[in-house]
This record gives sequence, structure tokens and C-alpha cells, in this order.
Amino acid sequence: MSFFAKLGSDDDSSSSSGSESEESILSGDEGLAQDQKLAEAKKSKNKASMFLRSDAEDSDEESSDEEDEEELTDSDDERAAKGNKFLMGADSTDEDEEEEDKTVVLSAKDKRFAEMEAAIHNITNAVRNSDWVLASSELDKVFRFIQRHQVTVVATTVSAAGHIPPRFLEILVSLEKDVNDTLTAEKSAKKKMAPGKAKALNGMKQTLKKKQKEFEAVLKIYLEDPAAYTSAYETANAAPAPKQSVKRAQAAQGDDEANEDFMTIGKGGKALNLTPEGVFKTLRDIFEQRGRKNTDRAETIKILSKLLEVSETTYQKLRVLLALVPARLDYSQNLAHIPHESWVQGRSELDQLITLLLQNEDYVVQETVGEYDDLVEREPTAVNGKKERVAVAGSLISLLESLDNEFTKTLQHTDAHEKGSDYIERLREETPLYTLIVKAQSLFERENLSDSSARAVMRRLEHVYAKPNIIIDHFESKVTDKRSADALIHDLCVHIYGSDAPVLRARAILFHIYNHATHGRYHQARDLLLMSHLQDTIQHADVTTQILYNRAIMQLGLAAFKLGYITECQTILADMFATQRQKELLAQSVQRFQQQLSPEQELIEKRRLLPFHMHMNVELLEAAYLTSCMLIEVPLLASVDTEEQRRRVTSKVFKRLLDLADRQAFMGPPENTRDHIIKASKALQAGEWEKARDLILSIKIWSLLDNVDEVKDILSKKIQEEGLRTYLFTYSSYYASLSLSHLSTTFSLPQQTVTSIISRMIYTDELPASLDQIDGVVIFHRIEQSEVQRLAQQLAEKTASLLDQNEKNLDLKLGSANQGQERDGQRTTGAGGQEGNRGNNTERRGGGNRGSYRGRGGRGRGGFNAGLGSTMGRRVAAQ
Amino acid sequence: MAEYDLTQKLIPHLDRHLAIPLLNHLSDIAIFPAEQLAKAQYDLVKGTNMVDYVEQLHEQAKTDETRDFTRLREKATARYQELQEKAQPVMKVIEDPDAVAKLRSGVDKDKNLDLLRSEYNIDIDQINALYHFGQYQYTLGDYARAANFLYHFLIFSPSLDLNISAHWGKLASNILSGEWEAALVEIKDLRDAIDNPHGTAMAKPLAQLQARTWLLHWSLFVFFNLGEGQGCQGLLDMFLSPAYLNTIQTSCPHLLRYLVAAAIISRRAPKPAGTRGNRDHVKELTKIVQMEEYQYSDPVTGFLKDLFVDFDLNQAQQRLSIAESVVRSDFFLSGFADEFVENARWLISEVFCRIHRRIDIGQLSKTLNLSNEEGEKWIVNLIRDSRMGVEAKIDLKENMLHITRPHATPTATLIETTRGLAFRSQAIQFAMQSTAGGETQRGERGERGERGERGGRGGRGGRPRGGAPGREEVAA
Repeated sequence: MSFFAKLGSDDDSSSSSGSESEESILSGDEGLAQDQKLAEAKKSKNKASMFLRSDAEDSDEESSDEEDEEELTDSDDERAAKGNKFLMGADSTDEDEEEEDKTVVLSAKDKRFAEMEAAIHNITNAVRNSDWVLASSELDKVFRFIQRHQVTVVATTVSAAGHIPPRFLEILVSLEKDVNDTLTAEKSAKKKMAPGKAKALNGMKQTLKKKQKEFEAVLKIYLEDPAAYTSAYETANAAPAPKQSVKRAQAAQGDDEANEDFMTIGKGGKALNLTPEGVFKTLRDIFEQRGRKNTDRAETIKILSKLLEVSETTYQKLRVLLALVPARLDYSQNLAHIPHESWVQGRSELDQLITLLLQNEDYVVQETVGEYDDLVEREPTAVNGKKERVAVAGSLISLLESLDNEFTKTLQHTDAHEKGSDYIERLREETPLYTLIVKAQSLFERENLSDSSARAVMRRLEHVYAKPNIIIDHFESKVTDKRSADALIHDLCVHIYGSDAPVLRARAILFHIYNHATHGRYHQARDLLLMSHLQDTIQHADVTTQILYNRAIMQLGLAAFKLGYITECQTILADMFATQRQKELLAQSVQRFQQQLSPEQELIEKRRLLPFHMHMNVELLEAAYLTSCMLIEVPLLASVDTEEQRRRVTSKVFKRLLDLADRQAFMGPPENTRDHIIKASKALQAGEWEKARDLILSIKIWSLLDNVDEVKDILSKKIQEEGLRTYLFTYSSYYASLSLSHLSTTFSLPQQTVTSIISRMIYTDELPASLDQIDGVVIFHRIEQSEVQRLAQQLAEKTASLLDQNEKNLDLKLGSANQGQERDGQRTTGAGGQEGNRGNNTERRGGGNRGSYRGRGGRGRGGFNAGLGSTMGRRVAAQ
Repeated sequence: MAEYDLTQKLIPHLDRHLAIPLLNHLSDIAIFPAEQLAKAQYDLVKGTNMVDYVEQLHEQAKTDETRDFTRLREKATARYQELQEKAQPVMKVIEDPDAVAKLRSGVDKDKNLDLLRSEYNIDIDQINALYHFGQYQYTLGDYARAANFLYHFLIFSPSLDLNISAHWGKLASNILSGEWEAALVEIKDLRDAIDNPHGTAMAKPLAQLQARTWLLHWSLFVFFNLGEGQGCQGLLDMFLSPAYLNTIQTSCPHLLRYLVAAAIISRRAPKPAGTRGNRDHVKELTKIVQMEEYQYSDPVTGFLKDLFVDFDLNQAQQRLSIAESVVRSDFFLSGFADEFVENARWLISEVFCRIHRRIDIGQLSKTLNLSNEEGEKWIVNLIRDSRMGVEAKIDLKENMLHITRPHATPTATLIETTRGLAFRSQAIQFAMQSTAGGETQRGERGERGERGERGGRGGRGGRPRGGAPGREEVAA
């Protein structure tokens, strides 16, 4: 299409000449021929019009510049005409639009007929052009129409003869003929049809056959005498029309008599009763309509809100509100979310409803109630001196939850970056929503609905757990019984712990952990996590809980970092970053490089995304993680000498980045956080701790931490220390001894610190050295291995590992663990002398593993160092 | 020292009677005001039936509260007599040697109960009376007899919950009457009962935690009175077992003090056969202390941290002197203060020697809080008792200590790595052969035989000789 459109637009002069396609193309050619001379001059103009064209394609209604106006409208016509000829797809939509313009006044039924006519027309055109793909799709449209038509027609009084329009049968017959012809022609044809087309053709043949069977009887009558059938159809259809209208009028009159003042005509032509007396009746009508196809939801809402205005008694109000709020929430099943205004109204109405219930203790909304008559006004009655409460059917908690869900949806579908003001405006509604939830909670508590109140508390928690205290205080300021933010979270969580829903409890624990972690209470958060044993069961939880778990873990890692627990931070965050999908695991974006997502999956994932204001700053997390890695890995890398040991380094992500930087011939000044850290690592490796410190401290993202200065202090101190360690590892082989005072000035650390760092390294056998207290120096005992010795050692190690592998394989092969244990036992007991060494080794290895697993299962809080890292991680990836 | 006193933290987990000695100890060392202590003692004892003692404390405390002690005494005596009467029939049976012999021959409780019912007309209520009487005697302060009654009750009673309770009672009675061996047995029984809860009451994690916390606290009395070797080792074994370590970390981190102290004290004590080295304890504890630092630290745990985390020897020395006074004033540890200090010094000097090559003796003595003379003696002892593979010599002229440490040569490490490779591969070979032959047992016997043959030989030499019998067996 665009090709032709472009052609057409090429000739400005001739475009007005005609709407016939051939002509226009002809003139286009002419124009081109002419243009060849003036090509240079015209090029720019062509381009301009091309751009305009694309505009026009986007929206036909768009107003254009004065100069191009004519041309535009003309070319539109042209396009339509051309499209008609060459491309049916585009044409059909155009035509529909046009037709709609003309026939606004047509009734729905007539409109449908017009649509069918158009489709049939398209089919004939398509058949002529042997565009079978289009024809087949249009045919489907027709069939769909017929089905719908049949359903509606059967309901009316039209006689059987008037059911199937003759146009339909006609196209059925002619199409079959065409299809068969083409198929036979195809067999003898030299050139094969395009596979897509052939497929469509065959499919059409099948459907036609099926449909013919369906309409066999009618078809037979029609084939006998088409003309007779047509006339019969027309007479059958003509008759009932006036009758219907009479009926309608009568109905209207009847209602008119009942209430003269005002009445609204509903969709089905029924009169609606908008008076206090008629509230129940109207409600019932609406209930009946609900869920049917073609119900105009907007209309329903309008009626209901009017009903609300007129309703007088509490009972009426309750009933109307209970219908109105779901109607609002139902409004848009096709849209991504309901419009904001509509949501706000829905919220205020639910608020009204709950306030009403809070004020009138005699009314109660329950999910299960005894039978009662819809149409009768009810009031609390006194039975035996006790007031009988009026129970109304409905589920407040589900209303509340779906309202809350809609709120999340609105936020999800508002782009926080591009439509920031919109986003904030919507977010502003969170406070009233929160107060609403609190109100609902107090209502549920009054009614002793423990399940509902637990769910409400959950919702409440969801709104506050990730927020800073100031915002929570703001939320709470609107609520009657105020509590401090920390106490609030604690109370709410404890409330959930007390309830008996395991899923809710797990979530509440995670909320609690997250909140502890955001407020820097690392130990509490960690203990809570370990004591809850969540990391053992989280793989079996639902995805949203897993996301929450991931968030809590990340926050925990950040909390550790803020307090300077570098190792802990690294172990906690490592697993998440090892996946390379941290954003996805935190439900902050849908990104997956390796595998293609099916649209449905993508939709599901998108639905899970968190609204923007809940996002965690992944860059900050990454900065924390990589910095921790740097502080841990750089000395470690310096301490190992063989390439093989290098490969054993734990953090793959960091290692990869470092290797990447190594390979670069030239490294520019650092641009992003990652660059900063990598450059700092390089500097640290070279012993330039000051440069490393400056680079790390100049990372801007730290400013997002609430205790920036403390963190920076901790970091620079750690960099000094690790710098010293790295220096010692890297350069110790070049010195026989180093004076402590020199070291302490170089790294500007107090001599005491230097001594204790070196002492630790010596004690743990990291550094082959010893201190000389009298001269204040450290003496290195490094024994240089000759190349042969080194290689021999390597070979020996490899052999040993090979042997280990062999033993393991053999154990597997021999089967049952039982046997393996037996063997182990034998070895340890039977092994004497030199063998004992190895036997112990294997035993410890096996025992260690088993022990740590058991420990995690049985203990309240397992060994943190091992437990935290290894368990946590694997679950993280489980998402 | 008052800020490091743990009494307040300990008492909530102790029985009323067990707390009495703690408070008495406090009044002995006088770190708290005497009036307050007297008041506290009175408040504590008030709830017991030891009327005479209460009266005495009442006078000391000088409270305004007036109580009629004669009436209380009468009431207590009346109740005592009542309970005694109830327990009489059972007591008679127990005192009868024939019955005891009969009962002893019966193995399980059900049979014994039947026997009692049929022959002596004693039903379950009467047995329970034994329990109540025992309990009452305990509240009166007659611990030895209480223990006796509860012992008999435990023999007969089938009720799980009451039994647990009786066990606790007996443990407390044993502790208070100073029967440590019996108390140790009681602790073992209780540990079994807590760790394998078949009763409903103990099966809940929270109840279990509570019970463990109690047991940990109560056992302090026993372990620290058993004597250095057995006691501390027992304490370490129990406290460091995973379940109890978790309990400490979760509900009573203050017990870390005792754990650390026990580990330090028992460092050089002769180890019972089959236990692991103490070094592990210290290392393990260092980790735990570091981990729990956020919720508990005192000079004793701080000492460990200074020494093994920060390697700040001066700081450790200072801390040790504070820790010493803490230990001296602690109810449980006061008897071990000297051992504690001695062993702590050992730790310091071990670390010192391990790290240093040349040490100024004067400085070391200072670090150890000893005079120069003493320091020298100390060092000589250290060298003589050298357990850390350190060869040290004193240079008196320079007044310093030379330490030479043998370093592994590359050749030695190479030998170390390749050691046993050949033998292990051979073992694999045999295992494979035996499975190929389908006779696992024989193969393994072959392996064992080969192993025995090998004995003290070098890895290589054992191969051809060891191989032969094994192969023969397979072939056969």
C-alpha cells in the first residue's frame, strides 16, 4: 500500500485529476517521466509530501496545512480507490468508516446488515483478484454475523422463512463454485500458488462444505427458486417490524403512567425507575443484565449513580452501593485499567459504603446470608428484645482487594518517566485508599471477621512496608488511632503472625524483613529470615511471594552494606547478581535475552511488574554488590598465584568485568558506576589505594543511601585495609622485610591496625611471614619455587583431583549410599599412617556437607556464614 | 563490676530456689547496695514455704509489710502432714524390701502398676501423692528428701507431663543438695526428653526452646561444680551441640560468657579420649562471639574477639584484666578465676609466638601482666610445653626470644600431595574388579587385606605386594 501511496503522492499536478486507480497510476508514471528532468528540484518536495503522507496515514482526521489540504483529501480518495483494487485489507476498514459516517442513524440491526453486505462485497472482489487469504477472512466474518443474526432472529416473531438472508445464501453458492473452479484450475496450472494462499483456499473449501451441511435445508429451498425465497424473506421481515415498535411504545406508556415525572430509557428500551420506590426493581433489572453481552457498562454505571442519588434509606443505599462499586470495577475488562476518575469515584463510593456500615451497626454485609426478597425494603427488627440485624449479600473484602488491585494497575500502566505528573496525581490517591483500608479493617474487626481483617491488614502492610517513616506517618495522620511507623509495621505483622494463614504469614514476615532492612536493622531482619526458614520453602511459594522474597533479600544485602558488613553483603547479593536478571527477578522490568517469551507469558509477567514507586534502585544494589566484591576479591586474587586458583574465585560477575577491563587496550575515564568500581579495583591491585578510594567515593549513586557519610567512612577505611592486604600479597615476594612504620605511613593507618592486620594474615597462614617485635619489621619467609617445582606441584594437584573424581565416580557407580558409607568407614578405620590424612579429609568433606544441611533444617538459626549465602541464593534463582 | 553482672539475666530462667544461692553470692561480693539486695532476697523467698528463713530475711529487709509467721508456719505444717499421710501407703511399699525386690524384677511400668494395684492396693492417685509430697518438701527447703521422693515417683509414674516436671524438680533438688553426679544424670534424662518430645506439651518449638533455655541455665550449676576437666568438657559438649547453640543465640546470648570461659579454662585440660581438640572450640566460639556481638558482649567474650579477630594483643591484655575481675565476681566462675587467667595468658602467648619471630621478653612479660622475672619463667615453661611446633630460644644478652619455625619446602609439599595417590588408585582398581566379578564382598575383603598388609609401608612399596592377594581372591 505504501508503495502505491508514494507513487500517487509523487505527482502533485495530476493528483486532482481522478479517483480511478488506473488513471492515477498512469498519471503517476507520467509525473515520474516528467520529473526525471526536474528530479533535483523536486526531490525535496517529494520528501516533504512523503512525510505528510505518513501523517495522513496515522489519522485521517488530522488537520493539515493550507497548501496540502487539497492534495491530502484527494490522495485519500485515491488511496481508497486504489486500495479497493489492489489491497482489500486496507480498503475494508476505510469503507467501514465511510459507511459509518453516512449511516449513523441506522439501527444496530441495519448496521449489521450493512456490515454483512460490505463483507460479501469484499469477498466477490477478493475472489476476482484471487486473493484467497482475504476472502477467507471475510467469509469468517460473514459466518459470524449469520450466527449472531440467527440467535437474535429466532428470538423475535419473524417466521422461519425470514431467518436467513438470501444474500448470504447467494454468496455461499457462488463462492463454492469459485473455489472449486480455482482448485481444478490449480491442478493443471503450471505455476503453483503461494503457499499461504493455497492454504487459505483449502481451508475455505472445508468451511464451505461444513456450512453447506448446516444450512442444507434452507439452501435447497433457495436453490430451487432464488427469487421466491427472496420475496418470502422480505415479507417475513417486513411484517414484524412495526409490531415491535408498537410493543415498545406500549411498554413505555405503561411505565409512564406509573411515574410521570421523569424516566430514563434503558438500553433494551426498558424504562428505568429512578425513584426511591423503584430502586429495588431497577437494581434487579440491572443485575439481570449484568454479565450479558452488549451490556453498556457505562450506561449501567450512570443509572446506578443516579439511583444512589435518589435512594433514601440505609438499606437502599447499601444495596445500590454494593452494585455500583463492582460495576465501576467491571467497567473496563478490555482496557488495561479503568480510567482514573472512575477509580476515584469507585474509591469514594466504597468509602461511603464502609462509613455507612460503620455508622449503622444494625446492617451487615456478609458473603452468605439467608434468603430474602430483593424487592422489599428491610429494616432492623426487634425480635425478643434483641435487634435482628439486616444482612446484605456481598463481599466487602473482595471489593476492597479489587479496588486496590485496580490502583496498582493504574500505576503500572502510567509511565512514571514520561507522564510523571499523571503518575504523581494517581499516587496521591494512595492516602485516601490507605485510610479506606484502615476503616475497612476496623469494620472487619468489629464484625469479628478474622479472615477478612487479616486480608485487610495485609493490604495495609503492602502499602506501607516499603515506605520511609515520614510517608507512613503521613498516612497514619489520617487515621484515628495513630502509631509510630515502626510500631505500626510491627503491630500489623504480629497481627498476621497471629492469624492462621500460612501464605499471609510468609508474606508478612517478608514485609517485616524488608522493613527492618530498610531501617538498617540488619540483625533483626537476618534473624527473622533465618528463624522463619523461608529460604527452604520459598521455591514452592507463588511467584508474587517469590518476588517479595527477592526484594527482601536484596534489601537485606543493602542493609548489611550500609552497616559495613561487606562479606555478608557480598554473599547475600551474589546469587541474585549471578543470574544477571536482577531486574526481572525484582519484577521491575520484563527482560529476557535468552529465550523468547510468548505473548501470554509476557502479559503475565507484565501484570506482575511493580509500580514504579515500589522499585528498588538496581544500580545502587549493583554498586553495593560490586564494591563488596572488589573489597573481597581483589586481595583474594592477589593472594593466589596460579591461573587455576584464580578461576576458583567466587564472584563470577565481578571477575568477568575485571577480565573485560584487562583486555581493553585503553581505558577511558570512568562513566558509569561499574566503570568507577572496575577502575578502582585496578588501582587497588596496583597498590594505589588513594586513587581507588577517590574513585569509589566519587560514585554518585551513594547519595541515595540515607547514611552516606558513614558508609563512605567505612568504605574508605576498608579500602585502606584491603589495599594493605593486596599490597602485601602482591609485593611480598620482592621484599625480605618491610618496616611496619613505613607501611603505616604508606597506607595512613595507625601502626596498631597495620600490626593487627598483618598478625591476622600470619595467623591464618595467608602470608608466610613473621613479625620482628624488636626492630618493628615484618619478615617474609616466602620460599620461591623453581619452575620445575611449581609445575610438579601443579601436576601432583591435578592428579590428586583426578583421583578424587575417580573415587566419586566409583562411589556413584557402585550405587547405594549405603555402600559408599561402608567404604568410607573402612577407609577411616583401616587407614593407618599416611593414609589417615586422606581418610579424614573425605570424612570431613562428607560430614561437613551433611552437617550443614541438617543444621539448616533442624536449627532455629543455622550457621550464618554458610547458611545464609548458599541457601538464600538457590532460592533466589528459583523464580 | 555491677554492669557485667549477669544475675538479673539469669534469674528469669531459674527456679526460685535456685536463685537463692545467686543472691547470697551477690551479698557476699557486695557490688550492689545491701538494702536492695536484702529486699530482693526477701521478695524472692517470700513465695516459698521456708518460713524460718523468710522470717529471718524479713527482719533483714526491714520492710513495712507485716506477716504473721506463726500462722504461716502452722499452715505449712498442716499441709505437710496432710500430704505425708496421703503418701504414706506408697512409702510403706517402698520401705518393704520384698516389694522392692518384686518391683525391681518387673521391667516395664505398666506391669509394676498392675502389681501395685493388685497386691498393695495402690492406685495412680496415691502415686501422684508422692509427687505432691516431694514437691512440697522442695518448697520447704528439704531438698534431699524431695529428691528421694521424686526418684520413687519417677519409677512408678506413667504420666509423661508429670514425669518431666518431676525430672525438673529432682534436678533442682540434686543441685541444691549438692549431688552433682546425680544431677548430671538428671540433665541427661531431661535432654533426652526435650530433644525427643513424644509428649504433646514439649513438641511445640516454642516450648522446646523454653525448656532448652532452662536446662542450659540449670546445668551451669552442675557443670561448674563437677570439677575442671569433666565439668567444662561436658558444658562445651552440651552447649556447642547445634540445638543448644541455637538456643543460646536466640534466647540467652549472655550464656556465651560461660561458654567462652569454659573453652578457655579447659584448653589445656587433659582431654578425654575421642573428643576433638580444643582449638576448634576456640575458633568456633570466636565466630559465634563475633556474630552475636550486636546483642551481647562482655569482657570475657571481648577478650576472645580482641585476640582472634583483631589480633590486638595490648587490647586483649587490658581486657583480660577486666575479665579477670568479672570472672572473680561471677557466681559460677569465681572458683575458676585462676585457671581462667592462666589459660588466657597461654592463649595470648601462643598467638604471640606464632606471629612473631623475635620477641622482647620485657614486652611480652608486660603483655602477660607479669614481672620480667616471672615472664622469663613463664616463657621457659612455654618452650618446654611447646605444643605448637615452635622452636624458641631465649637470648639473655639481648633479653629476647628467638623463634624459628620450620617452613615447608616445595619438595615436602610435593611429597605431601602425592602421598597415597598410588594406594588410593589401587583401591579403586580393586573395587572395580570386584564389581566386575559381581562379588562385592570379596573385593572388599581383598581391599582390606591389602590394607592390612600395607601397614606402615610407604605408598609405593605396598602396591605389588598388596595387589597380589586381592587379585587371587577375586580369581578364586
